[in-house]
Amino acid sequence: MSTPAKRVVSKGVPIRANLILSRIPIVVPEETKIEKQYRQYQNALERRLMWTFPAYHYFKKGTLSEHKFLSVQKKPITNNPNVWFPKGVPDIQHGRERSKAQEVILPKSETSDDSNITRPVEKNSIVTEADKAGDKSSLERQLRKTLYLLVNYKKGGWSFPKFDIDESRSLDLTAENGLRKIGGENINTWTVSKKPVGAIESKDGSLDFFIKSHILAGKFDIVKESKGDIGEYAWLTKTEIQEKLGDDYFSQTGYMLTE
Amino acid sequence: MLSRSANLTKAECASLATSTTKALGLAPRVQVRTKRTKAKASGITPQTQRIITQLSVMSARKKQPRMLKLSQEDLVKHQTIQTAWHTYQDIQKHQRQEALKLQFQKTDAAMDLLQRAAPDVYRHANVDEQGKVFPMELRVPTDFPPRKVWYYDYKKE
Repeated sequence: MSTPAKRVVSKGVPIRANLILSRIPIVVPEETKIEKQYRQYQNALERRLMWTFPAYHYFKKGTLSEHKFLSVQKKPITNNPNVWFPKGVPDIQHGRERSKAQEVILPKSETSDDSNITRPVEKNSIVTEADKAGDKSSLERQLRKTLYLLVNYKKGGWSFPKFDIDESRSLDLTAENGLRKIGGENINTWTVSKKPVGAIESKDGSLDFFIKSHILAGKFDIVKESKGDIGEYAWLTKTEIQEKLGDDYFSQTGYMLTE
Repeated sequence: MLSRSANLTKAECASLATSTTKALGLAPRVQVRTKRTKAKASGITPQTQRIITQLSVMSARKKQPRMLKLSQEDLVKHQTIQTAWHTYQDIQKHQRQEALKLQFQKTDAAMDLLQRAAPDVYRHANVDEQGKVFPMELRVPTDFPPRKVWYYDYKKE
């Protein structure tokens, strides 16, 4: 798609390269209700149709480990010709009721040393310290969401970091070098493409091109020389950006961002 | 000799054995229990038995569950669940494709604008980037965060 009328852009208009620097999610998005239910249903089906666990292969007959394993297994109901089974006569093979999912229980160790593989898995919290403290300059917040770097220019207010271009350089180099000038060298990024993902034509004739990039490691911290221009910075989610930038500006940039 | 030995006690047997070995000039026999290599009463050697066990782990015999027999009602339930899931997937796919289409159109428009505004910069941007791959450092999202969530101490080489 191109603009309907090919307007001529006047020479010498200020052109800026904006950098959309994102931190991709660290944790997968939360399952929706239907996703969770469907996964549980499929899981139950899969367990029902699973082959019997060949315990005789893993535990040698007559050993202590075999005894430990067998002693914690639930015994299925055996067939008895004098009993009526309304849900079908038990059909047991290798100690498993064939018409049901098999439940394999792993024995717990008596000792509490860490060498036991069946110890409970400790999961790290998805809500981090930065979330609790409300620290928006941290990269360790909102782990399920994509974060974008926004800086607060003392003249223009909050926006994506922007840099005036030099005609001899490509947009992505201008943006990446500019980022290091304001935020320090110790930052590892990966530019998605040399091509801009969008452009905004302002009323004063200036043009803003947007370059996408991902932060991989390191820290963005405003250097001393830039503290005169930039007040602060923040890593924000799409919804937070909408609140910060206002609907007008967001309507022109929202499609470049993901949740 | 055989009939006599049946009436001997254990101690007598032992003394008889040592005296016999001494008389013949043989070293005394030492009883050592090693790995079983001979067949037991079943007639299968342990090696064969091990192979049988290993093969039976892979075979379906006795290990397959009963076939699922769904009633008409259960079948309708199952089909409803599947249809709902596929509809949900279709909606998501459609949304993703719409977003991608919009992004492509906006990139196209931005490139057009760049060509008119700054032809030199456009030439730098309009290069073939086929074969570009994601860097190794890019982490794939996981179910739970790692112990160290972010690597802040990166130093430029």
